[in-house]
Amino acid sequence: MLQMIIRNFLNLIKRQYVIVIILVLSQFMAVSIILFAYGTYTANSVNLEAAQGEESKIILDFVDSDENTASELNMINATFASVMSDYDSMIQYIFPFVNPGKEEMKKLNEEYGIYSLENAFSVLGGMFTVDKDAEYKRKQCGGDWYSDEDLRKGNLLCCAGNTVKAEKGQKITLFGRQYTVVAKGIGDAWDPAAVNIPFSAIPGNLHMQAITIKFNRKIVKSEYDEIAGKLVDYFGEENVELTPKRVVELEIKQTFRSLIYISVLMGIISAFTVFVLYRFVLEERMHMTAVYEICGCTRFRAALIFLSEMLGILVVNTLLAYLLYMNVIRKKLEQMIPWFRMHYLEDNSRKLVMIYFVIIVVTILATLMVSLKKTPREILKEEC
Amino acid sequence: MVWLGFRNCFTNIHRNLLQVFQMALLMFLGIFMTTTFVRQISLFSPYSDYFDGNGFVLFDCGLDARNPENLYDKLEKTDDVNYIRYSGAESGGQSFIVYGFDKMALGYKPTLIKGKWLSEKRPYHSGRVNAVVSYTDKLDVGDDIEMEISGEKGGKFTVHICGMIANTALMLNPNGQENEGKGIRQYYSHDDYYFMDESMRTVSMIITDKAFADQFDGYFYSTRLYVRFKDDISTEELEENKNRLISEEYAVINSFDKVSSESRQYIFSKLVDVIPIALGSLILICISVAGVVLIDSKKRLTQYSVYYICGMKWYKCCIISMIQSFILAVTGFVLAVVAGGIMLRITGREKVMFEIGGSQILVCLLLLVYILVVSFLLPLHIIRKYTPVEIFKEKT
Repeated sequence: MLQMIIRNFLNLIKRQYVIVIILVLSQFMAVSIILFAYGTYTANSVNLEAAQGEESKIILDFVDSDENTASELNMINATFASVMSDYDSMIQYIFPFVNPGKEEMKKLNEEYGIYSLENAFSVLGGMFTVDKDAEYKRKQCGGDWYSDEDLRKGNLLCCAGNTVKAEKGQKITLFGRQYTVVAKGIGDAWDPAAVNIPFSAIPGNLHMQAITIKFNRKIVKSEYDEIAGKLVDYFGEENVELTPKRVVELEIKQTFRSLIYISVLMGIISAFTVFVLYRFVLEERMHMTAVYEICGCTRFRAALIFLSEMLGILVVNTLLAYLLYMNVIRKKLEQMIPWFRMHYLEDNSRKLVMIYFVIIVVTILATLMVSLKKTPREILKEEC
Repeated sequence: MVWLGFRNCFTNIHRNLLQVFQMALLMFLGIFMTTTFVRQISLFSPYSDYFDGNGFVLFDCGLDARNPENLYDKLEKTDDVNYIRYSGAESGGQSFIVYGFDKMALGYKPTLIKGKWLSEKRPYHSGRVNAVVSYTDKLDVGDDIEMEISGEKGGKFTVHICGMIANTALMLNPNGQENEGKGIRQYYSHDDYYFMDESMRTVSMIITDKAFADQFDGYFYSTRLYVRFKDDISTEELEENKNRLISEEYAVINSFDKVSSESRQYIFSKLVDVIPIALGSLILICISVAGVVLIDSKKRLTQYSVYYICGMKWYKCCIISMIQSFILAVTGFVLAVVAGGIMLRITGREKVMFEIGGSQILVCLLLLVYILVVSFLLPLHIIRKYTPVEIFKEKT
């Protein structure tokens, strides 16, 4: 049987090579477009602005209530770090926005020329770390920055921007505490009028207004919902609210929905093309099928020979199309267009390609059923 | 020949039905893709020529409402002063902002959930002002409502609602905030009706500028203005105009150059999501058509050989194939349009982008031309390789 399959396959390539090329191309296009549309859709499903180059983020606002003032900052502790550790590879930084109040800010401004406070951090394996930009910032200020250890212990250190009126080694007074300046920015390095302090060194009685979690890649809706759900559970539903989700314009929703429909349509067209082409191939082989049957081959066996031959082509083709798209085309697209960073859930991509493949197999089975209806007598009679 | 082409469509009906189905799928894909593509550029395409000239986008910072037509006298080489007039009105306790859209502003058609878009030529409907309203669950298309003009002017007029914009759909907004770097997009806005507080649910009502002028009679506001200058204006004159505008309490927000270049960048960023799929669709369409025509031609080789033996030229056989493909493609187009209509009925207009307009018909025509060319050339290419004797020999 294997010999027959190989012989049929070689014959197909030799005699109907145009049809084989059309089959391969149509399948390749369908797989590529399905994956592209899926990538575009998932990349834009939560943060639609992300496609324009902005990073994805979740902003959690604390409800302004006198009763729970001073409690939120203390909740950024080891438990919080362990909650967020599930996502540490995705998190660029976590930024608890602490507002020292107008008076304090005015004082800092007049005394040191400070206009803003920074205290971003990151999480790695359930432990706090300085934010992932720290390495870059270190270089920009000549090599020093507070360490992960300082961050965990809450050491009273700070890094001052270039225009802040304090030199390295000097002490500055923030929130009534003395912070030692361990780094000083050069030129326009980071925010020149900002002072960066380990968040753990901020007095726990200060009111925290919001937490921004910035991700190093776009997140999909399921991830957004999961992380947001954990944050709300942790801080208490009554104390926080997620920044209202952006009202997405209808046209964007329409576009992505249309792209998904189009990719489905292309899958159908591709399957249909396979049906038409393969039906022709089988019709051309009618005579051969009749001879097989006369010589004792059952119809089921004949169908199996044709099915194996076609599956061989389609499995290899679908697999190649998938690998080529995911490893070459996608990467090329990312190089060509800087913001083209599509987020693919590998599992879902594979599922989609599998669904497409199953549709193609069903199509082939349908073609076989349609084409192998006639008896050898009918086939040979028709030919005469 | 035409008759033979027709007859071919009705012989071997199963194969032809499959071909019609495939043509319908391809036409459907073509229309669908074109609509999605065109919608991306529709924010800017009606205004691209306008913004290609010299000009400024202004914001009126004056405290009192004033007539922007005065700018023609105050500025050098003014070609056009464009603005959208608006005023307040009420009806049964519901507040409205009524906008008067001129021909240019009507160029962008927002996504309508019901009814149809305004036409400059039809400002009235049986004596009532034709209007399109933003999404609200308190009104419906076909309603006639009595409007009361707010403020000192007072007065009443009746409005016939001919269309309703879908919730969160983009519409031109003369009061919207400026967003740097987004080009034309910053002049559009979108609101979620269900997201707004009950007290904030002001309905936007769009009427034609003619109807607006008739009803509001010079009682209007115009916060954002577009001043376009003649092509021969010099840089010095532009600078002088800019200074004059500032002294007249107009904030010069943007130059036309900037709007134009930023808009193109914005539109391109939108198109990048669509272009690969559009190209993919195009390639798949070409491959699929070629495959089907190839098979049909191979199947009809014997028939063409008979025609040849009876004295018909090969190229005439190919014309028969062309006529047959034409009929099948046109039938496919009709089916695609019907399928699109059914889809819109099921999903609703606001769910997907599917429209039949000039661009879509043009794409379908190009597709038809491609089908005709392929169905002429492919059989010709195949037939030329054989003589009728060879074809018959192979067949038997």
